[in-house]
Amino acid sequence: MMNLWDRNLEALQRRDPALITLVEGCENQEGLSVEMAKNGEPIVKRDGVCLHSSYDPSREAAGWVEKLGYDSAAPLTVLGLGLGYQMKALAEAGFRGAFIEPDPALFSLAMKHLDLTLVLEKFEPLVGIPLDKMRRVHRDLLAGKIAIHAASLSTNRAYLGELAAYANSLVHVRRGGIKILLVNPIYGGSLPAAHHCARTLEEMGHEVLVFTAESFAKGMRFSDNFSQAEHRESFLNEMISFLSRGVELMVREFEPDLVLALAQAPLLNQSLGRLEQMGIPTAFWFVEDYRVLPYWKGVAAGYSYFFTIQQGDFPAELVKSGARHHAYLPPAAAPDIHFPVKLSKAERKEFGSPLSFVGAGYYNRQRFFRGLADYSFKIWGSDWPMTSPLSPFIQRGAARIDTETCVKIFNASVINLNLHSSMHLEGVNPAGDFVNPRTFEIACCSAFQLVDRRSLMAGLFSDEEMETFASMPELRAKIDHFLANPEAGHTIAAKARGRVLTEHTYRARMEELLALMISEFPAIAEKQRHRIDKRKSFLSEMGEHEGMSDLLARLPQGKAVGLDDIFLGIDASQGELSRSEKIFLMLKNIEDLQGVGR
Amino acid sequence: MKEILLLCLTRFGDLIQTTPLIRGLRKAHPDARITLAVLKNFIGILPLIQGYDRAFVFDKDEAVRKIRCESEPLAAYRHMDEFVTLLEKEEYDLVVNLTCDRMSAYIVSTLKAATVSGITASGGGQRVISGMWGNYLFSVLRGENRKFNRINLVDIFTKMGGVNPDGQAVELHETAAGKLFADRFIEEEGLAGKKLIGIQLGASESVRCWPVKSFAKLSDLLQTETGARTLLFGSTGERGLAEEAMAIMQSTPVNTVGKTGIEELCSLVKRCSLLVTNDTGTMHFAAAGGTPVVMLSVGPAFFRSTGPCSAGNLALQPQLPCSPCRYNFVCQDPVCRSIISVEMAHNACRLLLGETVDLPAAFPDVSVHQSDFGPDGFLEWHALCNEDAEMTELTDRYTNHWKNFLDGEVTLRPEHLTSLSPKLEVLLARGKALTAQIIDATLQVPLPVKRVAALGEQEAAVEAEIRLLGSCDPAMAPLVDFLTLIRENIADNDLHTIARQTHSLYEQGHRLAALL
Repeated sequence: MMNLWDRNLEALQRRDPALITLVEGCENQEGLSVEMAKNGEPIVKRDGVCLHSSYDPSREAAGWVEKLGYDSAAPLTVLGLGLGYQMKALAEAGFRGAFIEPDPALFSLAMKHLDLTLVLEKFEPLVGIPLDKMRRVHRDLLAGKIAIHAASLSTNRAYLGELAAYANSLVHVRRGGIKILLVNPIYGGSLPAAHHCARTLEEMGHEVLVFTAESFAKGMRFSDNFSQAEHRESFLNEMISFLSRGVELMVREFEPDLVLALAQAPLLNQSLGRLEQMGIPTAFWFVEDYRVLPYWKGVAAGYSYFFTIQQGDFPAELVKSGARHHAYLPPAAAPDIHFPVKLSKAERKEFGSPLSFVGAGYYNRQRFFRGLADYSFKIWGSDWPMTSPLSPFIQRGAARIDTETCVKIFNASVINLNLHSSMHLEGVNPAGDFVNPRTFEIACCSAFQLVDRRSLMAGLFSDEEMETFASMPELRAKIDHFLANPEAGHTIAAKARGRVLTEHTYRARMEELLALMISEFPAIAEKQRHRIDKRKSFLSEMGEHEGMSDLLARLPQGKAVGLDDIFLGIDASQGELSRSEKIFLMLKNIEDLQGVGR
Repeated sequence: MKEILLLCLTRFGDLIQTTPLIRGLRKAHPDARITLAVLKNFIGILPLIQGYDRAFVFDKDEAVRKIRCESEPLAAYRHMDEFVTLLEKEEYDLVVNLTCDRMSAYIVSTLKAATVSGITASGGGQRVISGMWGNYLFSVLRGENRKFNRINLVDIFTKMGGVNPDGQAVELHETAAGKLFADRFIEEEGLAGKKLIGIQLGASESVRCWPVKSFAKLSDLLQTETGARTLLFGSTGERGLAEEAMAIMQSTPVNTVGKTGIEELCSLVKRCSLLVTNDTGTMHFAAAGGTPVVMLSVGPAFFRSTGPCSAGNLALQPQLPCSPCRYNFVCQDPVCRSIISVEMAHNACRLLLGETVDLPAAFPDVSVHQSDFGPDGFLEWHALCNEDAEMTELTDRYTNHWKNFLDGEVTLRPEHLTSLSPKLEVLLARGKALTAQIIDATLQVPLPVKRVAALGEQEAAVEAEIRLLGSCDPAMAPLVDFLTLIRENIADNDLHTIARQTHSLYEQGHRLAALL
C-alpha cells in the first residue's frame, strides 16, 4: 500500500508534474516545524506561529468553510495553504479552483502530512511563483472569488498580504470608471506605447483624457534653429516647463483619480509635487533602458509610483534616487494592432523574405548584421547608412516604417530577426536584461522570430515559445535550421502568440499598473466608488421618470454617470424621444449655448 | 380660448416687444388666462407689463450652475424637470413660443396644446416650426435675408399669436416706485424743467455698439448746443463704458449707469425728450414710454427688424453692402461704426427736437428712416434721405405679398409688374406637377415602387435646382429658405401624406412666386 507522500505525489503528477521536482527538492524547511494537535492531527508552525488550531484543525477548517458562505459552484482561489486542512475541507464541500502558496517547503511538508489527493484533484496548486509573475499570469484568478487563510497571511504579509490587496484592487480595476489623465511623450519610442495605453484603458471602461504632448513636437523641433547648444537647451527647457504647467491645468479641469505618464512625458518635479498636494497620485511607466537614458534619476522621487521594464540593480538604484514605490512592468503588444494577417501575393512579394529585420540602424545592428550578408535578407527601418556593406539589403532607402507595414513584414517573413539595440557593442549584449516591445509584437502576429538572449526573457516566455541566440555562429545555425524547417518555426510562433495573448497585452499591463496603484493609493478606489454610488442613487431615484429607465439602460455599464454620458446616449438613440430625453436635451441646449465649462 | 401660454425665455427687449401681442390677445380673448413663461434674470420687467394673468419663472443661471456641478448629474435634471412640470399642469388652447432656441422647442414639445405657434420639436426631436408667421421668422429674418424684410419683429410676434397689429406702440406701465424714484432723482440732480436727452452706451454685444468716444462727443455737443442735460443709461456691467466716456467728455453728464433698476429706468427714460441708443432694451423702454429715439443701427442691428416700435423715431443705418452684417460675424474692419459720425447723430437729434436740418447733405452714406404705423397697423419706416430706390421697390413688393400670403389671402400680381423670377415660377410649377403624380401613384395598389422612385428622383432634382437658385439670387433666397424650412417641417412616415404635404408646399410656393 502506498504511503501518504507517494499518493500525494501521484496526484500531483496528474495535476502539475512540473511541481514534483520543486517539492522533491525542498530540503530547507527552516522556520517550519510540525507538531501534533490535541486531537492527534499534525499541525505546522512557522517561526513559532501555529497555522492551524492546536486542538482540532479539521474542525476549525470545516467551520472556516461554513463561515465563508460561498457557493461551491463558482471557482475559488485560496491564498495560503498552511498544512492544507482548509483546502481539504473545501474540496470535500465540493469546491474547486486554485490555491496559492509562496513557500514550496510548506507545500512539501503538507504533502508529507495530509492526504491532499482530493485537494489536488479539485484545486490547481500555484506554488513558489514569484509575486510579479503571479500578478501578471494569474490576473483572472485573482480578480475572481478569493478566500484568505488568515494564519498564513499573518506569517507572510510580504507576499500574501500584497497579493490580497492586489486582488482586491483588481476587482476595482475591472469595474471601470477610473478617471485617468494620460500624459503622452512629445515624441520617441514610447509614444506608440502611450497610444496603446490610452486605447486599452478606454476599452477597459475607464474615463481617459490624453494630454497629447506630441502636438508640440514641431514646436520642440524649432530648437534646431538655434546654433548654440545652451540656447537650444534653454528653449527646450522652457517648452517642457510650459507643457508641464499645461498638464497641471488639465488636471485642474479634468480632476482625474490618477495621472499616468509614459517615458519622456513633459512633467517636471514641481508639477508632480503640486499634483501630489492635490491628492492625485502619479504613475510613470519608464519604457526605456535605464543605463542608456539616465534622466530617470531626476524624476524618480517626483512620481508616486515608478514602473520599469528592468529588474536587477535598477530597483535599488531607484530607491537611492528617492523613488517611493516601484514595480517591474515589462513591455507588451496590442492584439488589435499586432495580429496575423492574410497577405496578397503582391504583399508577400514586397514584404516577404526568408530573413528580415525591422528597426533603426543602431551601431551593434550595423556591425552584427554584416555577418548575414550571404542570406536573402531585408532590412527595414530608419537610420541605416546607405553606403555600407548592408546597403543592398536596406529597403525603401531607410525610410521610417509605419506600424501597419511592420505587421505585414512580420507576417510575410520566414524568420524575423530581433536584436536589442546598443550604441557601443559589436553585436549581442551579453548583459542584456529587458525584453523589447518588438519581441511581443512579432510574437503577437504569430510570426517567428530569433531574438538575442536576454536575462528577463525566461520570466516572460518559455523555451518552447521563444528561440534565442547569443552569438553569430548560434544565430547562423538557427537560421539555417528554421529556414530548412519552417513548420518548426510556425509551432513556436503559435505558442508565443498564445503566451502574449494571455499575459503580455496592454490590457494585462494596464490592469496590473492600476491594481498596484489602487493597492498603494486606496483613494483612487474611493473616488471610483463614490461615482458608482452616485450612479446607483441616480438609478434608484430616476426610475419613476417616464423614459428614464430606457435611457439609463443605454449608459455604459459599471461607469460613473455624467451628463455627457447621458447626452451621448440620447444622440445614439433612435425613434421617439421620451420626456426624460427631452429634458436632458433642454439641458444640452443650455450647455451648448452658454459654453458651460465642466 | 381659455388657456394661453407665451413662452418668452428671452431678454428685456424681446419681452417688451411681446407687449402688443399680449394686448391683442387680451382684447381678443378677454376671459382667457394668459401665462407668461420668463427667465428669472428678466422678471424685473413684469410689474411694468399688463394684460397677463400669471408668470412661470425659469432660473436658467441656476441650471447652468447645476450643469457645471459634475458630481451631481441629476441636479440639473431636477431643476429643469421642475419648470417643465409646472408648465405641463395645464392643457393649452394656444402656445406661442417667442423664444428661438432648441431648449424652448423641447419644452413646447412636452406640452399639451391645441395650437402651437413658433418653434417646437417632433417626436423624434427634429426641429419643427409651427405656423406660417413662425416660418417667416425663422427663414426671412435670418442672415442676409433680413435685408428683404420690412416687417418689424413686434408685428411678427403679434401675428404669430394670431392677432393683428393695432397700430400702437409697445407698452409698459410706469410703477409707483419707478415714478417716485424718477421724480426724486430729477429733483436731487437739479434737472427739473430741463430738457433731458438719454444716451445708452452699451448693447448686448460689442459689435452693436457705436463707439464710446463718439457718444462722448455727441453728449458734449448736445449739452453745449441744445442746452439739454444728457443722462447716461446702462446696467451695472456697463459702468466701465460710462467711465470711459466721462473721462473724455468736456461737459459732465448725469450718470445713472448701474444705479437704476428696471422700474426706475423705465420712468427715467420716459422723462427724457429723446434717447440716442444702440439696438438695446433701453431703446424699447423709450418706445414704450413715448420718448423719441435715435437708433444707431450698426453691426448686425437692423432697424426694420428690431427698431423701436412706436411712431416718430429715427434710425440711422450705414449705406454699406454688408450692413446689417450676419449674426455672429467677426468683422476685422467694423467701418459701419465710424460711418455714422457724431455730427450725423447730432443732426438726427436736432431733427427730432424740431430743428431744421439740410437733408440729405447732413447724412452722407447713411440712410435715415422715420417710423410710423401704416393703415394695416404694422410699423413702417419711411425714408427721409438716401433711400435705395431699387431695394425699396423690391422690398415693398415683397412685404405686401408676404403679408397677404402668410395670412392665407389670395392676391394677384399687378399686371404692370413682371415676375421677379420666372425660372423659380417654372420650377415650382414643375414640382407641383410631379408631386401631384406621386400622390396619384401612392394611391395605387400595389404601389408602383419604380415609378414612385423615378418621380421622387425628378422631384429631388427640382428641389436641388430651387435651392441653387436661392443660393445664386439673394432676392430669391428668402422665398427659397422659407419653402425649405416648411419642407423640413414635414415629419411623417407615410409616403402618401408626405407627397400631399410636399405638393401643398409647391402650391404655396408657386402662389407666392406668382405674386412676386
